Amino acid sequence: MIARFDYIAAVILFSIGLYALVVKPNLIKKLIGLNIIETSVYLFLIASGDVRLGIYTNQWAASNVIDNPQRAVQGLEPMINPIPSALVLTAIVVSVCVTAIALSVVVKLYQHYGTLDAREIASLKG
Amino acid sequence: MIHLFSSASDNGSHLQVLIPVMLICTALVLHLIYYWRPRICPYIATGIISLSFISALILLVKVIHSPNGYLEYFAGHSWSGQRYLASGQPIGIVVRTDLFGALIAALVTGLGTLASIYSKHYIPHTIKTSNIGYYYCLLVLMIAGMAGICLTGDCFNFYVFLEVASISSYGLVAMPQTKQSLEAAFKYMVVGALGSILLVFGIVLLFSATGTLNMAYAAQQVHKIVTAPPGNPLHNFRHLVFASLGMFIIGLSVKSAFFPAHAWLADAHPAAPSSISALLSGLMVKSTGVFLFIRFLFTVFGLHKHEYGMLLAPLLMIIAVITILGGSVFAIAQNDIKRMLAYSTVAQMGYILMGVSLISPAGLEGAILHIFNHALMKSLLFMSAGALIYKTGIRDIREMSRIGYRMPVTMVCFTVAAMSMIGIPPLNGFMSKWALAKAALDANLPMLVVVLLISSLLNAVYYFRVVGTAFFGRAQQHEEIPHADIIRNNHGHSLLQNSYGYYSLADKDRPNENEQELPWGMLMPLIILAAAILFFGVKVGILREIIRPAVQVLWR
Amino acid sequence: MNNSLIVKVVSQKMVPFIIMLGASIILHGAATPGGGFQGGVVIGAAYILFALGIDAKTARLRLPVIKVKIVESAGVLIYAFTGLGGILLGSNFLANKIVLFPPQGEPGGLFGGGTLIPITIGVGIHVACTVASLYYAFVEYEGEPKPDKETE
Repeated sequence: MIARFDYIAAVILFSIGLYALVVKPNLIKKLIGLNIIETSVYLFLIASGDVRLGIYTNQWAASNVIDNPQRAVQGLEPMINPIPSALVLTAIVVSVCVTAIALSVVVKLYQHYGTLDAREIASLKG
Repeated sequence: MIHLFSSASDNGSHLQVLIPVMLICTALVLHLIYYWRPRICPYIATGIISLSFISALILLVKVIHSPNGYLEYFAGHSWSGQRYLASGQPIGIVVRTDLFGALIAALVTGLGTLASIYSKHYIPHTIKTSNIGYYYCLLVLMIAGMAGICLTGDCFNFYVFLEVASISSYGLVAMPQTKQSLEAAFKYMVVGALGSILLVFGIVLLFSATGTLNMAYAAQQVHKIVTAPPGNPLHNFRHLVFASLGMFIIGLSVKSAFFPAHAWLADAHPAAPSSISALLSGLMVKSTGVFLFIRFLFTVFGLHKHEYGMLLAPLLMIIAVITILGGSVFAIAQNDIKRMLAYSTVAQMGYILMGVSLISPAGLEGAILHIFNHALMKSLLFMSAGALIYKTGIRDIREMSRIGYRMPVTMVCFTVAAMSMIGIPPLNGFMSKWALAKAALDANLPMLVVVLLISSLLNAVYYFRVVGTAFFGRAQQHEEIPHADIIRNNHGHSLLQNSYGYYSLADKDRPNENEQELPWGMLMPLIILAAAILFFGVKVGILREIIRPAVQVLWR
Repeated sequence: MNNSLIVKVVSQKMVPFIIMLGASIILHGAATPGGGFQGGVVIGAAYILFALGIDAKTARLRLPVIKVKIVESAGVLIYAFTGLGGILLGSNFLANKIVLFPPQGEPGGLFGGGTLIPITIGVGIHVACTVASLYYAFVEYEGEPKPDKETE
């Protein structure tokens, strides 16, 4: 269990983020919560690419080693899987974009309402 | 000579990548074009989207005539030109377009063309002049994203395209920069980002289990894993597959606004400009939601092959029934016409999920038919509602009395779509509801037919309310309606934004209040869509001939 | 902060080195960890540092937003045309068997990636410009009322 401390950290981070997203009234804090949730998922995913800790075993790793057919044939030596890291990189780019748009929307909302309190910004009902 | 229509070495077509590529490239120079030549910007956007529509039609014909029912295109292959590893795993990014995807891609680009034509007159009226260039940029990007989702065959590619489409739509919802649209955009963004992150989670879990991102190859591996006996090492990967399936179901349910997660849709779709509402309700929830739902549940996870399909079916069916009834009931309670249409979309998404949850070819056929038909109907409804708001500034249904005499063509188009939505026989809405009901009867679930009938009745209640008020309502009496002015103040586009300086067109381009009908550029998409609704209602056989083999490809 | 001579001078002198680091990360993107996005962010961050050292208005005069946008679009077009080159030369989109750069190089070396080099350069340009324009969009936002009400 202690060997999977990074998964536990991811779960703790996720809970913190969800708490901030749901409970905090401030829009900026909600966004920070969203970012923490995303970070926790990225942490989990990168950890899952790691051979020592990961759920990813070399069962399929053998078929993944494209540049080294010899290794693929042997299928023995485990290696850190680069693909989750590459995917997480793209996901980070996406979260940067979402955060940028969300912050600009928050700026505009502040301009309209003069506050960032989500309890006061509630014109949509029903 | 450039082989534009068929690549040199594979069975694929260059159009599979060229459609998204040309749209994205044009989108990113479009705001620069607007900087120097604002007048030609709408024409370029419409031109490139219609070009992609023609390409998508060519692609559809090619896919129909392909022997396997799909085209496979290898982008970015290696130096040696090697396509597959010894294990049968494809190398690089495989763009795999099957009939289902090609059909939805043609739908996406076709409706995108109409929305872009509609935008030319509508948009200067709704958003600031300095933002029009960005509007067209985001519109084209959104269509590129949605078309890309339909054409790709790679788990991660679809995620990237999904984000391209989603992020553009966040920007587009916020574009009018009113209180409502900003708040709706914020909610939409937070919920959408949560849904996307669950999808990433699902993708990586699927990758951990199967070792590939290619959908077709992942499907083979999932089949091996799920059918492995307990002693087999593959058996240990089962929990990963199940976790991944769960993540996909939750994430895509959020994206397609099934019951517990439907609230964002009812906020975001009415708050957007009407041309965008039409695309969001008609296409966005389908291509990023239900399309992927069907694609993953059937193509990758093989719900129809494995026992967990039988476990999931009742759950999906319950969600579908709640979504149908809840959406319809909420729609009745609305006074804002666009909000009513948004709740109606929620209900219709429930219809599609119901077809999926039957897990039978007939149900899937009904679901795909309804995806197609609902896209036409809801786009028409939103566009004509937008035309009413453009012309009169009225959003409240209670104020719409006798508006049908002021704008006869618009209201007739609205009525055609509303009739189709209710399910009046010669129109296309009837055909898909009929297909769904028949599939439910085949699956021996007559209760679902009852739900469909109840929902049609509720549809009739809220659509006939609009149509009845518009044609047969009493003359306007503002005093009887409390808060009418407040509602108009909050939502009004044409009347009030004038004083905020949102009008920035030349005088001659402003909508003339004395003129009875819309400008031709806005009327044309409405008439085309109404004609399409009639056409696909009468000639439903054409669609069936495409959808039946599409379901066979999905069902393999 | 604008008055601090140390901040001003150090931030100005650091910029070329940071840009060199970013360019190095971009150019080695095919062979080592890193690539277009990371290098682009480094270059964009260098520009933000530059703008923080002197004030944003002056920095904007040095690099107008419209130029940033033009270069940004050019980055995407580099990527797209590298991909289209594959089709024009009779292969598939983004095919790597055509070599736009004559020195084909060893796999793992600087030019070992073939068409990956122009692709990472395009991505790097685009990301650097995006980071810079995002900074501008937030820093130079005007027209905000000054409400005296503060949230917690």
